[in-house]
Amino acid sequence: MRFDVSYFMQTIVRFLPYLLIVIKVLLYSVGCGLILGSLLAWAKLSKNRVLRGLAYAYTTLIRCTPAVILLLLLYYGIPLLLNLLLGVKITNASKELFLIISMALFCGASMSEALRAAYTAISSNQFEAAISVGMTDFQAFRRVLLPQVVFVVLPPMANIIVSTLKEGSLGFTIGFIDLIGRANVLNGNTLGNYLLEIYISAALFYWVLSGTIIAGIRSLERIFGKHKITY
Amino acid sequence: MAAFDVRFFIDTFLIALTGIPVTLILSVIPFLIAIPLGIGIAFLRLKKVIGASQLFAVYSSFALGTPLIIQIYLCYYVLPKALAEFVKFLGIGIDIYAIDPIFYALLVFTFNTTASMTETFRSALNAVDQGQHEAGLAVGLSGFRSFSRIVMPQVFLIALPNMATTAVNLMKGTSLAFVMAVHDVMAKARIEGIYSYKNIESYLGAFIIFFILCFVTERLFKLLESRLNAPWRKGNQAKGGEVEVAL
Repeated sequence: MRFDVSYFMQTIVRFLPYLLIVIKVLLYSVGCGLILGSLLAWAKLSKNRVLRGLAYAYTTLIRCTPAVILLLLLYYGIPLLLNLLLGVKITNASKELFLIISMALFCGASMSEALRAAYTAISSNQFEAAISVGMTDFQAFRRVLLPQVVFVVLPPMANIIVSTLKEGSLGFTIGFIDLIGRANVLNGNTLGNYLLEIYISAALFYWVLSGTIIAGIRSLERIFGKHKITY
Repeated sequence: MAAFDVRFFIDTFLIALTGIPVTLILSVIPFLIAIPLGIGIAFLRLKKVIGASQLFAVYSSFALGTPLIIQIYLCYYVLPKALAEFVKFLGIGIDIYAIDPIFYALLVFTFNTTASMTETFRSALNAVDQGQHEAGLAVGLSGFRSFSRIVMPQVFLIALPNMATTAVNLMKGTSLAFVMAVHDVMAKARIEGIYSYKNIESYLGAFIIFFILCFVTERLFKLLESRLNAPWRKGNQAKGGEVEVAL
């Protein structure tokens, strides 16, 4: 078995445009996941029992479902449901959209857990102190609680984003052509002769990307932690 | 597009059920192998053994920073080729391609799980106060005794929540074994779905089975946790830190 360095370099160049697709899907999924996660965290902290129960049930459901299965179920299930309920026929829906939806559903569940934990970690005294100096509820949240929540939530956030990145690689199962999909096509075209070069360069892209995410969050932590007073 | 075929759903569900033993093998064996390996590697890294520490840091960051599917491809496609050439080089008459693919599946899941187990035990070992070990030594225990009797029980207790997460993630990860032609729950459901074009029915069956398996696993770990934590219920309960991906 040999390793063709020049072909390896070629695949890296060939994969570069697909890296942008991976990043795009990741950004959309994490963005939507953050919104969903905040809503779920709010529901989990609310006094309404039904709301709370639903949010927890959702998190458990997602936590116990493999990403591939959810993705495939959504991909085949949503068009069927829409057809049955509304009579809308979806024939060529964007595969990217389905991937983003399922990744966002995953991301939202773990994000809500991280946000809830961070929120409960900050004592309610902080909020009361802010109110007592004359801030409104919103001001207290935005100026006092939120900055602290962000600081606490950053380390788990790094993990969540990296796992969303990794789960996003499953798009090939619904025929979405991102980095892995392209690698599979390339591997098929070359009849498996350059297997090592192709998959190692794909792995390298993901490795660098997740390393960058972790390093980025670490530096954000430093920025947000700068004003933290330690007693 | 046809409506939901209940008959077919029940049939494929029953077929997928026969894949449960394989799914369990793929989840339990790597998990059990990963525990001692994870403890060993975590120890090497905490002790900062030159060479091993750096090597395993790179290993962890690769295993946790790249998608499982790429690791599967590399293991399933590349390893047999390399092994075949190695065997040819040695001149032994073993047919590498006759090896059951489940062997490669076990290998790659162990590779992946050991990395998260290492991180789990690294943070748990860190969380136990050094003074505990020293106290053990002070009352006359040998270094090994103090470690195994005093430190490790506490480490396990702290590591348990993260071990549960690792176990559930491993179980979910085994749903990708279909790529390696291993006939687990997912693969059986998928084959039925592909041949009949009834994807939703077949994947729904796999979804239900996986959900129940993962849910039960999670509950069992919770039960174990509360049992083991019972003596310390009041006051200072040990708390596990988040697993950090080290890169």
